[in-house]
Amino acid sequence: MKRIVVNLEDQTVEAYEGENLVHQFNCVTGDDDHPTDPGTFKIIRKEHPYRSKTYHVQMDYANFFTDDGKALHQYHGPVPLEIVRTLKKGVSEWFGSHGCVRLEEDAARTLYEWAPLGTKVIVQ
Amino acid sequence: MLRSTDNFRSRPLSLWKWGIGVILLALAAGWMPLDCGGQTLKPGTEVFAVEPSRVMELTYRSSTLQLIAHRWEAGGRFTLICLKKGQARPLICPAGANFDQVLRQLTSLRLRRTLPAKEAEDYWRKNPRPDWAEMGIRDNSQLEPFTALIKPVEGSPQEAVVRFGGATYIVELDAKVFQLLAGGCKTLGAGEK
Repeated sequence: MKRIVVNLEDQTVEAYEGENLVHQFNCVTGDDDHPTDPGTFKIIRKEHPYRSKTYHVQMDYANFFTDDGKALHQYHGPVPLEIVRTLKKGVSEWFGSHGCVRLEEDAARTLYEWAPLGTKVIVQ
Repeated sequence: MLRSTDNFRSRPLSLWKWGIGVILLALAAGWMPLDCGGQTLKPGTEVFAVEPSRVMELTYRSSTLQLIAHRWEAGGRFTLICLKKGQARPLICPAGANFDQVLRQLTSLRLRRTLPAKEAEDYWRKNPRPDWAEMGIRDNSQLEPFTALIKPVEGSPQEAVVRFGGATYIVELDAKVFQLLAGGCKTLGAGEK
């Protein structure tokens, strides 16, 4: 059974097959105003490429896991994700996303290819 | 009355954030790769997928047919509204088993091959807009509907070309899906085989 665990404190995403950790990636989750809510979800829609008409942003390799459009997806910002992640963890929540889980392109693509529809997503 | 320095002190975090942002943008500009083209997905990956039970509406518009399949509740039965070219009035019918089969296939578009930009452009030039059907799938989430252009691959009964979001893919899709869609209520309605 595949599952994805999003760790809000560590800003990491882990992918498990049974008890085996098969992938681990760094990520950036929501800010204080748009938090990535803890809970257990599942992937309800997959789409690549994807562009949000609400936020006018590209969200490629989108694995949607909530009805309001939160997804694990590729980060497309101009500043490297690692810098944004460091700033979010150490400086301010302001550097977070609008609730989505942002990943580097390779990580987003790997996760997209690995996780079928229905894969459990645990945000903790 | 606040002096300008007091005013600055009252919003130091905001200014500071902007300062960091500008510095980081400048740094990032030097690091940005010139070629931003991403790698292609592995064959077999679903370029679009949604649970059929969550679909509320499917629309399909070709040069000869307009079809709307709609239901009010997830998991409920679809009603089909089909208007063929030349018909004065649409036919309305409850969806049957063939429609379920079509829906299952259209909600899981599995990649065979990504067309590189040049090949996609050539394909588009050789197969202009009227040759394609426009497909829309709305589910019961708050997400925008999935929309794509789609057409069967000539001479390849298990493949279709889909175009959405700037990408063009060859996906696994039985040509029978297009035949069933073209038949409207006659092939997709309840009681039809």
